[in-house]
Amino acid sequence: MKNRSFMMEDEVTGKAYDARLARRLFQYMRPYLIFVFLGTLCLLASSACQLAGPYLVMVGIDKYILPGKLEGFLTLIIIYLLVITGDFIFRFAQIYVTNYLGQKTMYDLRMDLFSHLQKLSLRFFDRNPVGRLVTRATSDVEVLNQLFSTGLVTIIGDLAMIAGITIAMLLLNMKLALLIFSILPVLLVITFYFRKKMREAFRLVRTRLARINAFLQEALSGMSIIQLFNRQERTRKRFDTLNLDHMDAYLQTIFYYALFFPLIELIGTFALAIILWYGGLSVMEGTLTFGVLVAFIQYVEKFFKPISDLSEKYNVFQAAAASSERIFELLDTKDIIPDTPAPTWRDRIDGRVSFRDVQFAYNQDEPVLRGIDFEVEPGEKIAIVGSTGAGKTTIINLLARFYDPQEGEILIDGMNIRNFDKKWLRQNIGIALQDVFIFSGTVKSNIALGEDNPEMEKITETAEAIEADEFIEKLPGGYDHELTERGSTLSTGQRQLLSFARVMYKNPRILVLDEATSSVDSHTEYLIQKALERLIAGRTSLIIAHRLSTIRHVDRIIVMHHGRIAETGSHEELLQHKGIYYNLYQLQYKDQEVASPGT
Amino acid sequence: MPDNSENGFWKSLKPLVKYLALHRRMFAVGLGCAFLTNSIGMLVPLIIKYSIEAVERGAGARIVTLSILGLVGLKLLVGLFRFLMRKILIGISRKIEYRIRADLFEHLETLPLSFYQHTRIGDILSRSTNDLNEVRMLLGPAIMYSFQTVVTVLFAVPVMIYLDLKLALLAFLPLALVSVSYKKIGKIIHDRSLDVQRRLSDITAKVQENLSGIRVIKSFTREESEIEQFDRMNRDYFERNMRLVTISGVLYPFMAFLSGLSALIILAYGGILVMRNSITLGDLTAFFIYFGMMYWPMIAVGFVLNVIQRGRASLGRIMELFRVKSDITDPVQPSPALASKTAAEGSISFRDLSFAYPGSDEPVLRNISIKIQAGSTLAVVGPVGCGKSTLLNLVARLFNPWPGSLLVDGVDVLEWPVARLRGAIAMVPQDTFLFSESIRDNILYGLERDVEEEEIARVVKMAGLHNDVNGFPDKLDTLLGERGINLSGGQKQRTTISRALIIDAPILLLDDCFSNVDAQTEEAILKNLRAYSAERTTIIVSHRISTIKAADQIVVLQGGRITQRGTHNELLKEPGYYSSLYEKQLLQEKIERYS
Repeated sequence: MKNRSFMMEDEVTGKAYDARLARRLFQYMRPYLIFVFLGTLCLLASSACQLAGPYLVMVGIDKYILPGKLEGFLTLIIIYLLVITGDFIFRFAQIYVTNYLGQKTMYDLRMDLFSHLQKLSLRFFDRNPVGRLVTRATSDVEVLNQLFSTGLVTIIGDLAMIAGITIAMLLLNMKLALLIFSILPVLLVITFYFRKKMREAFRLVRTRLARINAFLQEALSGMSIIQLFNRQERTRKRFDTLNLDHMDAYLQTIFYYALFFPLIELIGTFALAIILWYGGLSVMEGTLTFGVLVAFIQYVEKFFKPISDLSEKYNVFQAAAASSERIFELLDTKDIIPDTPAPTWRDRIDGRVSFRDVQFAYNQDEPVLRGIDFEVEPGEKIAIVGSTGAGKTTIINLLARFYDPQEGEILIDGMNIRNFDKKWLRQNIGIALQDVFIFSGTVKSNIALGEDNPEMEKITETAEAIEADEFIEKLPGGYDHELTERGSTLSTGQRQLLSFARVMYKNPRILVLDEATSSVDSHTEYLIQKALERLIAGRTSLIIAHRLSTIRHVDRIIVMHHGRIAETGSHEELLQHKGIYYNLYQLQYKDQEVASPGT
Repeated sequence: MPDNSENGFWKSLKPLVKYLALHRRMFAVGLGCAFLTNSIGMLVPLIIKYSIEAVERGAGARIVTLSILGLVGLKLLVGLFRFLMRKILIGISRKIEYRIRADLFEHLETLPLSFYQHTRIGDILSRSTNDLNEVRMLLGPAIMYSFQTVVTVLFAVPVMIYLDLKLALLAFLPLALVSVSYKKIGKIIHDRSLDVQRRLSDITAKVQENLSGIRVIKSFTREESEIEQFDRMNRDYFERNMRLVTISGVLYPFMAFLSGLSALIILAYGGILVMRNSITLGDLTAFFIYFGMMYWPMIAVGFVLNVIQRGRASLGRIMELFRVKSDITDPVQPSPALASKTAAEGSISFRDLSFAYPGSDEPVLRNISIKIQAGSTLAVVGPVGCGKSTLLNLVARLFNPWPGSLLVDGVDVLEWPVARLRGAIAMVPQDTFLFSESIRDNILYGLERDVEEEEIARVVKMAGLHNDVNGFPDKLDTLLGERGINLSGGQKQRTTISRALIIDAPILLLDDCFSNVDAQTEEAILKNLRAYSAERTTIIVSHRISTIKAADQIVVLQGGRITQRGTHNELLKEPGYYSSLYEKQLLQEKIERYS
């Protein structure tokens, strides 16, 4: 019953290369390509407006201001006003469209992640702390926002700008252009170096943030334990280590980031220096016109700006790549109990349950069930008893297909449960679990569990049937009483009653109670047993209990011992057999006898 | 900074001042670097202009080369200071982020159980990560960029005024609109981003809850309805985000538009001035150059304002947590009676104790009076929800009892330093919370001192856990999953029992901690505990007669009142809950025996 892979860290292998990630991310954008197109269009339009501005100023000076010509100057001013208005509209449209694209994509991604998580098997959840998974579905997705919204479209715009300027420079003066391009290898080397460093640093940041979240989540859930045991100081120190690690990782990214931009700028300066020096000397020699020199200076500024912008986008890309790697890794986790492609469908089931030589281990070499064989007739009531760790709970886990057995098969009405749809199967099995989980919401919604517009009448009837109505009506607001996470405002017994009500509400054909009555006091247990009697009538029931008192209603008892069925039979038969059951029973009985006065 | 009039604006940012003050020296250095990189940066166009003019004049290769070298040198300085500026200023923001998170955690550690019962953990998580990040953006990039803007404006504006006051005033007119419109837009952005953060918080909480309860969801095949619910929240989040974008998306283009408007004024009015020969064309060109320099910093204002608004909203949400104060605090003056004591003896007395949970009028406990001698055992039985757990939680001061109603060693628990009181108590709560560490770490959780291996083994054996532990390949070093997920319910309970036993405290509180332990094991544990609890004051809450029958005194709690008290034998003789509980248990046995 143990697992060593819990500590599995967030570090990803790094094998995934960008093209593969990009292709997958692209899949998510595919439905919204029209917005990418529209966004790019708006961006280009606003760029055009921005370029038109200085041009209009130039025209204004040359044609109107210098000659002192007022005529037509007003028209120019109006055109200028139109241009800046156009710029305003296109910019806004671009921001809106790209954000729409980003939000839509994130919405889809979150939806996929959440739906995927719903499909994963319990084996997966045994291994992965909830805090980390929450990070995947929220913060990691959020990181992609920038990529989808601002990143992609501006990159297209920047690339268009770079291409345009390259062509223009080559056309103006090929020699000078090539001289400037000779700097590009240096630029690329630096960019690649930093790109690698930043990627590593960012990955470290995300890993450490996930650790902080997992730690916080656990510490907050167990705060009363921390306080009861006076462990605040120590817990704080441990948190501090994580917190510091996280900060250190960030400081590293800042270092690279801070160094990168000035370096890029410096390279730009070198390009400028080359123009001024080579170009300037050429002008003086008369081999270059002055106009071309000035044009080159302006172009180079506009050439390096998008390149350094591109590298700024790296940051976004780094973060996005790290996040998407982890997101896709999660989406690729195929830890799913598979549904058969052609499920058998039945309108109703009789409720015959058979286990045939079922063998199962949560971890290899640690078998929990070692060949379980039994048959439950429709409507028959079976109790499974045995000491802790005998494998009783595992039987439920297998029957509900939370796990699949390694050997043997489990049948319902003679059909292997693998042939049914999981959903259908679970709808026909009602389970009251050991650990009662309360969802935040009303008592009502906790009984109907997520059902939309549940019938109030059915809920109250259910509650009345197990006499849970008494305590529910006493709660402020009654059935509309708001419960908090893990139901900490309810006592264990009340939670148990609520979990009972859930199963009763579901009205399944096969009923499984996993130690459900174990932490209820005798009075409540007595009440529940009355209801139980009504509930299990006509249903195939498997009751797992340590309490022998809860099994008086059953037809047959299966005694489990170390993963095997040790004894089976009716209560009387088992007592006569004088085996394990007899001992379990005697113990409880003897207890009562010693306690009772005068005997 | 655009908005001084809005009183709440600065007030809401006040909490950050003390954090910034911690780094005031480096912060000043960082701002200094920002000043240098920007002011030196302003010289660059002048050098370029000079170089071009040198070329134009045909001033000779030497001067051209020199001015180019000067340009490269200046740029090196600009780059150096920019590197330092980023490293220092953004670094400080990360350091403050670290500090706020540490402070927040320290604060959360002081908050009482009642807070955690009413607050979703996902919500706290979201505040300490997402919201904190927004605040960090405010502290880092926002401050850095706004300072850069200020420096640029400080240089450019005087020059422009010197050139022509009227033109300068007119050119700045659209910028005045910035602060006016900002006040309106800023408020809306603030509200909407608060809204967005809340929805994200909801989503986080939803995922967290869903995943924690995945077993229940699967057994009740509620996956689809969960997905639908998530879809609704997700869609809602999407819509809120778009609502925010419609307004925050206007801000940046609007700033650009206002800049354009200024350029328009310079062109139109300045052009006319030139035509009238009031100013020279050179003046107008200079005007354009300096205005161009202010263009990007002014646009950055839009970004900065956005970040500040989001940061403010988030800071507010973090401060909300800081404002929650614990009511479980140390006494101003610990009782002098404690001064002479080295260790607690362990006597407990409830004196006419009544208790209602904070915010509720309905008492959970009414007029409870019990005296528990040091070293004796009290057992509490009663139906579900009768207040049994509350009784124990009050002793450990997870909640505050009324003054004078609950005494430990004759001293009001309110007059005990909290840590000292809890140090005298070993508690096994009903909720078997374990940490995702090894079994050993969990057992040693509450221990200050080092222990011998034998002592652990002894306790593990006493709690009946030794067979289970020995069955694990890694024994005590077996790592547990979240909440001890890889242990059975009984194993979890016995681990929590071990955790309490090993700290060897004078008071032992057992809250229904055998419910998942089978009868055989329970009997063994109780037998082992007999000698242990004889030396300690023990309060044991249980549903099972077998667990409590050996107690020195037993009280029956019903509806928060004591309805019966006595020893097992005494209680059996009087009619009431206890004897009927006993009879019921006996009856069930009988039925089982004969059916």
